[in-house]
Amino acid sequence: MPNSPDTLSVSWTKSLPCDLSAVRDATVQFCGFLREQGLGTEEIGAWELLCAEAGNNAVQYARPAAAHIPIVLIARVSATEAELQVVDHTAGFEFPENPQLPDDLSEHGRGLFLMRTLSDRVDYLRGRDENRLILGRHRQSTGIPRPAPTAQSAEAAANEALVQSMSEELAACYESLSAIFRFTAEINKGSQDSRFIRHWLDQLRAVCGADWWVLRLADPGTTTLAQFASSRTDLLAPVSLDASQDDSVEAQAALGRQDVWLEPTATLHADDPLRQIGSSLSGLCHPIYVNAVPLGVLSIGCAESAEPFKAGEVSIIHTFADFLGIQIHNAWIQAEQLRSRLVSRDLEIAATIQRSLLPERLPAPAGFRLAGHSASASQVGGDFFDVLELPDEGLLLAIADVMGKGVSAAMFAAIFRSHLRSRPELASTPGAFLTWLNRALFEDLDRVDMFVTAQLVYLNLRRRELRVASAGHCPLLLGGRHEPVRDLGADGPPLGITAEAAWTEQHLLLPEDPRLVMFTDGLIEVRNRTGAFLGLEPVKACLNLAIQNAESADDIRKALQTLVADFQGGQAATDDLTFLIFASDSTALNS
Amino acid sequence: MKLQTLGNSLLAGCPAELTAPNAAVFREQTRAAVSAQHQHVEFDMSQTNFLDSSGLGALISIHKLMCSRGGSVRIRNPSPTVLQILELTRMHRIFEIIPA
Repeated sequence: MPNSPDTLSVSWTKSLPCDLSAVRDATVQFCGFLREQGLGTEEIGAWELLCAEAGNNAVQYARPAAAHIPIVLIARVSATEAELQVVDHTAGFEFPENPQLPDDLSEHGRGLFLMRTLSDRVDYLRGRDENRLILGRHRQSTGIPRPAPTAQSAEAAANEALVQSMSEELAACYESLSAIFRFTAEINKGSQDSRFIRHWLDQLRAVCGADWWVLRLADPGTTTLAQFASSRTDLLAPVSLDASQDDSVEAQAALGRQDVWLEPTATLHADDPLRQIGSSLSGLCHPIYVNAVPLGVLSIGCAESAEPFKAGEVSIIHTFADFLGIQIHNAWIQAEQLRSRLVSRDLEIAATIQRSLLPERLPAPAGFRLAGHSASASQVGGDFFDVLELPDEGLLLAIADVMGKGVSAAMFAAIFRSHLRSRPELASTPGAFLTWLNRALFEDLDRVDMFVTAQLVYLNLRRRELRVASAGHCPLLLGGRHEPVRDLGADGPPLGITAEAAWTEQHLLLPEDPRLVMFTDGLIEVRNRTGAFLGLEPVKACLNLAIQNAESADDIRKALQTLVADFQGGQAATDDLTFLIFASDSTALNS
Repeated sequence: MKLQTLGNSLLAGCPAELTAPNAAVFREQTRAAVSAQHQHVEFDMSQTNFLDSSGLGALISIHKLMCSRGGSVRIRNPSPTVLQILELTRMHRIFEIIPA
């Protein structure tokens, strides 16, 4: 026999048709009876669900032949316990001792679980014509059965229950809200480091009653999750985001873009990093996304509890994780902006250095003039030219192109210039000068896999002598009044290719009324709209015309600039453009 | 039952009681209202003071429908009683719950 309530109980009986709506009506009446007996709101809520589930089962599983037979509800309430009996006319069944919840996506099968969970005792007595389900619960509020309340006292009791419910809800929310407000305030202070995040995840752990957490962030390629912060020191192993390689729950959360719950009844995979905490855990792995970009996974849980988080706690975990995601995302953007500003500033400084490498004023030896042009395609390039005045009416013209662009190219241009100016005694032997420059620069260039093309021209104006040496550089163009423009080819490899290379030089006499142009490849490799190169011939033609018209160095500079601009047809340059012109002084000749 | 489209969400007002007698009708009305433009279904449960396992089954049915479309179901403003049932059955892990 089942336990029966003590003898001082009050009973209530209801006979109802085998119909779901009748069950609902009867449930409401049953709750009214319980309220009259002084049961609390929470208890009545549990009984309402018990009555509904038991009554619905009695209707839904009634034998067709017995569908016309009323279902009977019998309730008894004593000072210590309440009991509900439901008399059904179903085929009957074995009430399981420990009913389990069905699969999350199952639409049925939760009734027995609810009845067992909400009752202190369950008995199911099967008979030939009828069965009897008996559900019992201890009363939370003790006291003797009360007389039926008056309308006023019922209203007062309802108000009291409402206030009590509101107070409980506010109390439950307070801690969460308070933490969120403090968190938001902290975000506005601009704290961005892992200490800040660690602090707030520790707060979250306290609020949710968890005992561990780990935040892993995805790398830029979203191939792995690496620990960013954790309440433990043993969760450092990265998590692969390759679904074929990793069975970890954190990877499942990130790849599936949804929460993965850790159940104490489920054993973690042998390689799962979270196994450091325990082989079976209770908790939640929550993926963090901002603007559909995966940032990482926050995992939080309890080592002991079987039921870690209620809905309110899940909500606050999601809220914290979303705040964290925004905060981390913003920090990344700020870091990128800072890096970009620093690079931009570096480039500005380098561009200033590069401009300072070019001679402020070119020498103007008697009867001759020099003109130069240098423009970078990007903010900082590796082109540069220089002119050194030497004793005995000597001049050293130098032009160089450091492989690549940007700060490193500009820095090597600066180093090249310093070396060039440090040994003027080598200027009259440009081949030997290049050999020395190569030895001096080789180690530094080799270390960063860079090289420099360079061309040196020594001019002795008194003896009208010219000596040329070239290290893998473009040919120079030379012509005169009775001498068509010709190109003097490059000799030897660029600087920085082999340590022991040696360079030779060509000795020539300056033609009458000479015009000489040294340039970098940006001049002949400029492209037009169809992608074709300008080439050497148009430049030679331009120079021949200049000789014919007795143009000055400055005129030739302008003519070459015009030639390039016309050929480009308004397109932006893709390479640096540098040239240096040496020409007889037309003004002096004319006079 | 109040149904309203807001952006890519279908907002559905749940009845005062979502239980065995009305769960099937509720489920079918909601399913019929979901169209291709709806990425989410939001159930406003602020007026719902009782939910049983049959009502829960109706919500799960809509959840399955939305999952098959790559969408989701949100439950807004559940009362403490409803929340307790969601937690007891662990459905708070499945639905996105937005407290009042």
